[in-house]
Amino acid sequence: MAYEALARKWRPKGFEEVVGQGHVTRALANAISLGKIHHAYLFAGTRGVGKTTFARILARALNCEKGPSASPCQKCAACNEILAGTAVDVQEIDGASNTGIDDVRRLRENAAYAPSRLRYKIYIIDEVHMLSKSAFNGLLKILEEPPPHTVFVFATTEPNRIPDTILSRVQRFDFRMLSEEEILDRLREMAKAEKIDCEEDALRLMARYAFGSMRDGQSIFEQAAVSGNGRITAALVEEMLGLVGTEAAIDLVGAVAAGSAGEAIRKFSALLSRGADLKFLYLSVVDVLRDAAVWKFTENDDLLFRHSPSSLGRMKELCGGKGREEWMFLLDIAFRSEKDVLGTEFPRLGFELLLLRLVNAPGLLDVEGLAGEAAQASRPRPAAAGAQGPDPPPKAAATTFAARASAPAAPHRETAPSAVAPKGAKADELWDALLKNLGAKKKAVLLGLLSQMKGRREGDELVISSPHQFVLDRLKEEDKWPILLQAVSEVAGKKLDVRLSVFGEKKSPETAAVAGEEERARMSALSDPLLAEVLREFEGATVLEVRPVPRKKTLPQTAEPDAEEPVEGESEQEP
Amino acid sequence: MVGRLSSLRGQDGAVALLRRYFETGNVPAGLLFHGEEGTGKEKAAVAFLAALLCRDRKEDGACGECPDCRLLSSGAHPNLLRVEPENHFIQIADIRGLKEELSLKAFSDRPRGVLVCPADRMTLQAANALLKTLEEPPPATHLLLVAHRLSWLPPTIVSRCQKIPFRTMPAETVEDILGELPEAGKRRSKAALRAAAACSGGSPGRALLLLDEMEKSRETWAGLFTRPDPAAVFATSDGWRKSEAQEGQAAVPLAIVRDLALLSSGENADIINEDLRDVLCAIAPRKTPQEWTRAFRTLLTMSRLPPQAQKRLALEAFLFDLHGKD
Repeated sequence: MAYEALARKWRPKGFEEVVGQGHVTRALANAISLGKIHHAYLFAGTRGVGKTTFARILARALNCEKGPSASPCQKCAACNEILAGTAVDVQEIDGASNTGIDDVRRLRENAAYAPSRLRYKIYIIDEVHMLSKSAFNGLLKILEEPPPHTVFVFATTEPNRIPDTILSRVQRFDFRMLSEEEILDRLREMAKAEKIDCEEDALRLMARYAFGSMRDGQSIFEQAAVSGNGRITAALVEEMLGLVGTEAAIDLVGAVAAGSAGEAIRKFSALLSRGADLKFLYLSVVDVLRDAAVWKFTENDDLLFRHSPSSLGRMKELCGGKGREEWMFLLDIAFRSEKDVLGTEFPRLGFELLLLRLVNAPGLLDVEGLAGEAAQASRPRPAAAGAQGPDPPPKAAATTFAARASAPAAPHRETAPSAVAPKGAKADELWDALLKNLGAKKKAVLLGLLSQMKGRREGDELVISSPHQFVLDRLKEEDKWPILLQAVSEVAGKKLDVRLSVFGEKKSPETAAVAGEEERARMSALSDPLLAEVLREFEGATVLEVRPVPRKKTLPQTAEPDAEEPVEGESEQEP
Repeated sequence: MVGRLSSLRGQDGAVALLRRYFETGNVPAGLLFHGEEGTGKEKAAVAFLAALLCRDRKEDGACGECPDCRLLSSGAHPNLLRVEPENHFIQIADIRGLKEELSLKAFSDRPRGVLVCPADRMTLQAANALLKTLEEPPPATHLLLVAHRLSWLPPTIVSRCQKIPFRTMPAETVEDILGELPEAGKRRSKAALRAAAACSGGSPGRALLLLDEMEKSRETWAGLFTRPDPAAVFATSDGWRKSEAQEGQAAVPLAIVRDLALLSSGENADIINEDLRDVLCAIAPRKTPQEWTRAFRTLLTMSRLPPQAQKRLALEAFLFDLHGKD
C-alpha cells in the first residue's frame, strides 16, 4: 500500500512551486540571498494554502549544502534528510499535541546546543495556536534572543489566538486564500500529469468548491478521480458534492418569488430526493438571491456569479418579478437563516421554514416611489410624512427622524419671545406656542412626548391628554416636569396649572366637536400597540399626521425587524 | 457478524465510492463519513474497516470467515482502534493515547484502522491534536472519522480527509425502511410512521427515535394549537422539564405548525400529518400564514436551545403568546 494522497504527493518542493503566495516567496527568497535571516517566522493563513509546506522548504533552503539559497538543490544529504523528515536538526513539532509548558521547557533545553550536522537548527511548530498560555510565555525569552543558528517557524490557521508578546517577536507572513483560477491551473496540471481525463467544467467546479484551499481542491479531485475511474465529468462532481445546479436553484427561488408555498415545498423535496446536499442547496439559494439583488441594482452581468447563457436569461426573467428592495430583503432573510437551516436538529424543516418565510415576506414599498409621492403631495411639511400606523417600522423611523429634525428648526424663524400668547387666545394657540417655546430651548425629548399629546386651555388650567398613561407619566419625571411648568408660565404669561388626563376619560364638549373623522382615525392609530412600541423605541419620535392606508398595490405589511430571536421584540401589525 | 456494504439502504453513492477505493487499491488515509445522524455512517465505516482488514476480501466486503474477520467480529482485532467519547466528548488525552499507539508498529501485517466516532464530539484541542496524524499518518494506517455535522468539525480537519457524504433520503424511503424494521413496522400506526419519516429529515435512525413521540403526542399537540386550555398546556410543558427532556421532542409541534403554515397559505398537498388533516384545516385559518410562519420559527429556535435552557418556560411562553392573540 504505497499509495500516497495526491495532496501529499504534489506537495511543492521549492519556493517557486508554491502557488499564489508570491509576496511570501519574494520576501523570504530575498532574506535568504541577502543573508538576513530572522530567527522566528510566523506563517498564518487558512487551511491548505501552503504554510507547512513553506516551513519545510524554508528549512531546506537554509540548510542545503549548496546554500543557503532560495532554491535548495533537493539532492544533497541535508535536503534529502529534511525531505524524509529524519534530520535531527530540523524538528517538526505538533503544537496541538505538545501544548504544555513542559514541552516548551524540553525544547528550550535542546535549543541550547549547537546544531549537530546542519547549518541551522530549525524548530517548526505547526498548529502553534493550540499552545497553552504558559507554554507561549515559556517561549518568550528564547524567541527574543535565541541561541545563534536557531530558527523558529510557527504555522497556524488562527493567528488571533497567539499572544501579542509572541507576535511582536516574530516576522509574520499572512498566506492568502487562493483564487479559483490558481486552483484551476494547478488541478489542470495535476490532471495532465496523473493522466486523468477531466472536463474543463468539472475542473472549474472543483476549483470553486475548494473555497480557496489548494488541499481541499486536491482532495475533491482525488475523490472524483477514484469514483469516476480516471475520468472526471462535471455531472460526477456535482453528484459527488451534492451540488445543486444553478437552474434548479433559480427554479426554487422562482417558485418562492411567485408566492407559491406549495410549489416551493414540492420543488424542494424533489431536489432532496435527487440527492441535493442541504448546505449547498442553501448556499445556491443565497447565491441566486444575491445575484438577483445585485443585478437589480447594477444591471451589470459581470458582477453576477458565473452563469451559463440560459441560466443568465432565466435569472433576468426572475429579477423582473420584484423590486430591488424586495430582493435585498429576501436575501437578508435567507442570509440570516443560516442557523435555522444548518444549525438545527431538523434541517429539512428548517429549510422549509426558510421557504415559507421567503414566500410570506411582506411586500415592501419602493423607497424612490415613496419619496416621489411625498414630494408631489402639496403638504406644508412634505419631509415630515409622519409615522403612520401601517408603515414598516424602519421607514417610520426614518421619517420620524426627519420630523424630529424639522421640528426644532421651525422656531428659528419665530423667536421664542414673540411666541408668548396674548391673553384669552384660543387654547390651541397656547399649545402651539408652548411647543415652539420648548423647541427653541432644544428640549427634544419633552417636545417629542408632547407632540403625541393634545393640549388645551380650560380656564386657568392647561389640560394635556394622551391615550397612554405611561407617556403622561414620563412628563412627570423630574428632569422634565419643572421645565414644562416653566415653559407653560412663560408662554401663558402667568402661572397656569397643568393637569394630565388620559384620552377618552373625559371629554369636554369642545373637543368632542373637533374630534371628527380624522380624530377617530388618529385615536385608532395611536392605540395601535405597534405604534406605541415604535414610539417607545425611538425616543422623541412623533406622530404628525394620520392618513388612511393609501396604496393600491401591495398591502404594506410590517417588515420584520428580523431579530436574532424571533421570540422577542417583533412587533406585528394586525392586517 | 460483520456487516456487508450492500446491506446499507439508500446510500448507493457512498457505497459505490467505497467499493471503488478497493477496486483501485487507493484507500485514502483519512476518510470522513458525514451526513445526518441515523443514515448508516457508522455501519458503513465498520463494514469498510472489516473489508480492509479481511484477508479474503469479496466484492461485497469482508468474507466473514478468515481469522481477521473472526477476530474483528469478536471485537478483539488488535489492528482496529476505536476512539469514542467519554462523558460526551473525545478529549485530547484520548487522541494523545491514539497517537502513541500509532507510533508503534502494527500488531500484524494487516493495515491498521482507526475509527473516530462521532468525530464531531472531539474537543477543539483533541481535533487540533489529530491534525498532523491525519495529514501524514504512519504507513498502512487509515483514519475513519464519522461525523453527524460537518460544521462542528474545524475546517482544518475536514480539509485533510476525503469526504464520503451520506445522503438523507426521501420521506417515502424512510417510511419503507421503518416499515421493515421489526421494532417499528407492524407495531406502529401508519400515520405515526409517516409523520416520523417526514420529520426525520430523511434519516431512518432519527425517524426511529421520533416514533415514540409521534405515536404519543400528536393529537395532544393538535389540541394545543386549537384552543387555549391552560391545564393542557401545563401538562405538556411538564414533559419539557430539563431532566425529562428528550431529543426530538420538538418534532411533533414543528411538523404540525409547518402543516398549519402550509394550509393557511392555501396549500393542500404535502401535508405531513395527513391523518389530522381535518383538525388542522379547521385551525389553520385562525391565523395568517405570516403568524404561523413566525410560530414555526419560534419553535425551531426553541428546539435549538442549549440543554441547560428552561425549555418548559419557553414552551409555556410560546403557547400562551400564540393564543393570547386569538
